[in-house]
Amino acid sequence: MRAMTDRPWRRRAAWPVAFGLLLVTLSGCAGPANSPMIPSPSAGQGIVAEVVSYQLIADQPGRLLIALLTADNRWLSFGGVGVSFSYLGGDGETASPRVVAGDTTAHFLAIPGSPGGDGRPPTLTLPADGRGVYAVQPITFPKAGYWQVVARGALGDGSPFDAAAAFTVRDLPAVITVGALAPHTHNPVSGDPGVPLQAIDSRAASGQPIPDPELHRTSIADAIEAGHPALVVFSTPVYCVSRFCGPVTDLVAELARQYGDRADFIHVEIYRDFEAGKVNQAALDWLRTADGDLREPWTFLIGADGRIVASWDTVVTRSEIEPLLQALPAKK
Amino acid sequence: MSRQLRARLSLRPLGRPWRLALVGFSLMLAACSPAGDATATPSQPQLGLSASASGVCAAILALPDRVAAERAFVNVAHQALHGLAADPRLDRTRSARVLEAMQKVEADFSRPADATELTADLTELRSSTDAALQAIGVEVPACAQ
Repeated sequence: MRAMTDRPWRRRAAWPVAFGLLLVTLSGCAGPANSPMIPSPSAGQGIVAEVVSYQLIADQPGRLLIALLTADNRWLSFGGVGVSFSYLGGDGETASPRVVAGDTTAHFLAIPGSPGGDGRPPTLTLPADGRGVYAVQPITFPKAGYWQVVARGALGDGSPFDAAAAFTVRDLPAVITVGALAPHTHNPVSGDPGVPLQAIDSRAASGQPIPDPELHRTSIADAIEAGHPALVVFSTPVYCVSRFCGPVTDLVAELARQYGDRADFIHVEIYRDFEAGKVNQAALDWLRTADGDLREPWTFLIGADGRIVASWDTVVTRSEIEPLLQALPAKK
Repeated sequence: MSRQLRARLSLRPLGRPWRLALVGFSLMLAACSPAGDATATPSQPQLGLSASASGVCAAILALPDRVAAERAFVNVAHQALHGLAADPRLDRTRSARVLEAMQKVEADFSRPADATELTADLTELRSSTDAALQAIGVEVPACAQ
């Protein structure tokens, strides 16, 4: 394996690796036995894996999130699944997917508002009966590049499944990360003159009042300058493509009502004008990557010292945030 | 499916190599999908963008059974609506109408909303969904009301 470098990820490396991933994917359909990474003879129940983490950085503890879905819109929910990792290569280099980098268990994280399963084994569920992702945390990948995860386990009836997905580990953060000073962003808040209501919360797009007023009173800059910890969610509850934005925003609103004496709670809407394709500057300042991507939702906890204490991409649950809020003293 | 995956992962189109991989991924999904079930009911998942309309229709037909309506909406329509709204053939105005109408319905289901309001919002969603499907040339399934 190559040593880590500080060079940014290079697009030219994507062709051979993407082609390799395509072959891995197609071979997974034909039968897991075709792949040394997928020795199980199971047909996989038609389950496919999708890594939904936005940011994994080499040599830094992170959180890998995997959605396990079927083509007919069922989710694998509850319990835990075994996962193993292989390094596929990067930056013009290719590596054999036989190199297993680790084996561990990924545990189910229910999307806020969805059933958690109460000890049930992995089960294929309709969305109304269970939706969530499987998380491995903390996990540290030793080098940047393309990686593959194989998830495997057994359903409640004993039938085995396995599914593989590829993902990128970066050598440098693309989005602000733990320990960094939070940008003093003046995100739009209720009452700001000249700001369209939907730029404060997309749920106000249809002429409705701005919901969750407790999330739209304070800017990030004001919270930092007051020395208040702040829980900040960047999301677009209406124009979301990930299906996670609304539930995550609702969770932050719930926490605001419960822990409003300990921190400021802030929702930053992604779009200033969805139809015109205009994104709020605050979202660009925090989330736009060097290559122009902007993904959401993201949730950040900023400490009283103005540094990022924790961050969560995609799904975040009450059990992940609440202990950090409980540890905070009352606001001054 | 590949377009939906892309939309779920990024607000920006992927580069060509990743499109190739995702095309392969979608082919795999199609190849690995179980055969269609002739006995499918509205509570069972359906594939394709037209499930957005048929799922909303099933939700409307299930009323006044609010639980059945929500299951039809969540299990059949929801994912397909996201896929429809993210379809690059759809202009942003029609996409916005679908997403805004969908959010109203979700809000109705998340609280004890008035039945009349829920019916009206589902009907509005059905209308915006039909318009979006027609705009991209997808046949709109009939909704026998």
